[in-house]
Amino acid sequence: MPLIKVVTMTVLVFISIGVTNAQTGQTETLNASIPEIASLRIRIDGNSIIPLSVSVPGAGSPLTGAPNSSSWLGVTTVVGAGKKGTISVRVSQMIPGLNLKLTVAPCTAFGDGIKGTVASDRVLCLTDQPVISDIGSMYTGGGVGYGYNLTYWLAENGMDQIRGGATSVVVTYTYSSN
Amino acid sequence: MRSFTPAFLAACLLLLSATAAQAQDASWDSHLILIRLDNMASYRIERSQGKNDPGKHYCLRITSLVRPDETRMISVKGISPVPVRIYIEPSNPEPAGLGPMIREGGLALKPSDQVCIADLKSCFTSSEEKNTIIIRILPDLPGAPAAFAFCQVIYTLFTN
Amino acid sequence: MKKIACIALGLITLALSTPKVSAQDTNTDSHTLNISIAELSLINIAGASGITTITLSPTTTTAGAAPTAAANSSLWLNVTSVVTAQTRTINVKTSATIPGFDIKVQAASCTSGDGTFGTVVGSPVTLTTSDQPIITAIGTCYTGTGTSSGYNLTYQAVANTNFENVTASNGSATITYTITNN
Repeated sequence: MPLIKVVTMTVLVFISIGVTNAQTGQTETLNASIPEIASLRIRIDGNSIIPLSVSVPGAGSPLTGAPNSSSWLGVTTVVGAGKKGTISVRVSQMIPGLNLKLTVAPCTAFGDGIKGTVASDRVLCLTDQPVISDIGSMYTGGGVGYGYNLTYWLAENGMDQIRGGATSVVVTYTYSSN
Repeated sequence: MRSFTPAFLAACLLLLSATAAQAQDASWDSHLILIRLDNMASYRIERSQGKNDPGKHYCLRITSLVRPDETRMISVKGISPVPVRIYIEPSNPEPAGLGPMIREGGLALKPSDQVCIADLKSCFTSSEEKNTIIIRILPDLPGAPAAFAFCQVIYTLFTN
Repeated sequence: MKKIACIALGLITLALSTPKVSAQDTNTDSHTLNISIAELSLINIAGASGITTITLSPTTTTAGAAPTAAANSSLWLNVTSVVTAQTRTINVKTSATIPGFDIKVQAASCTSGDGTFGTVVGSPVTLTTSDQPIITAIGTCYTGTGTSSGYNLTYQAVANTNFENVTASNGSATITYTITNN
């Protein structure tokens, strides 16, 4: 029996193939079902840590944050009839005096399906907020250069509260459908 | 092809670092302040209000700013139908910068200049009775009455 | 006649042409941002057209009056400061004193920019060759850049009791402002 090689696994489809018995003439029925799935993968260039900071061009100037666009969000999903998918984002902590901002670029380079509407210039917070909406069944491809490009940067929001130091913020993306 | 000598490269590095240092702000900065002082001499005689001493009282107000090699003096001369004596006294407190002046005994008024304040350098008296120069003019006749005829007194500031 | 067994196919790929295989695909994923805010302590003296040299010319036309110079308010201090837990002070000093005159400077409160601007010293500071505070309790702030932003500086030259040592001349001094941690 020939073997069928598996490249990647994202969908399980069970198909029973019936054979015809030439002698008796029996037939078998074919049942196939495709379950709704959600598969979410973030692929980050290099390592998985993103450095963000602020700087000034000179005395008297406000702080500005340089953007980091090294992260890509790859998505594959199959939605049920009449449903739409949403990807929301939240952070593990807020930074006094600074807004952590996010722009999601549309996925255009590869993939197929209903890739939804992206948000730009969002201030991230402790509760989930949608950043990609109206997703249908689709795939984006995965890895650097595939999917939705994520751009993070810091913006001043209350200068008197800003303090020098270092901290880590975990950004979590969650898919849901309704 | 031009070859870049170590000296040339070092000079380029110095120029680049100097430019960078000027372009970057630091935790300090400085600027220049110029003080321009021109020499000046300004003086005025005013009637004085106070004092119960006999005679007519006047205030001599002076602002003087000399060059390093200058000194000044004030002389007095006048004409009076009767002998007149002039007493010049600094007030208490005394303005700084006044040179020697006739303090004891006063000066007999004459038609020719007599130095009454010498070695005047940079000073300013004030616009008030204190910190100024008080001048008293009295008849120089023993037993003479306080009132006397018209008397002209001229003060002149000379710069050496 | 050979029997042909039923074959159940278990796997069909759908189009993720990724070089890596994710061991677990779920509906949530996260990654970490490393936020780093550096302490900053920057000060700049701003003057019109970039000129920061000022001239004071004390004089008077009133006999007996001390020579005075018109106050000069053409310079501004621009500051950007990021603190951790401390506050900062801006000190001022001169490279040289002028005989017979006190050079005084006073900073006005900052009304531009944002943050904790601190407190300006309430009376003019008579400059000496030692640092003296002119603005205290500065936190994290930025004042804006250029003239009309930051702390406006007003300079005066006032005759003092050492006036007898004054001579007519042109003198100069370098005034230095330094921002330091408290």
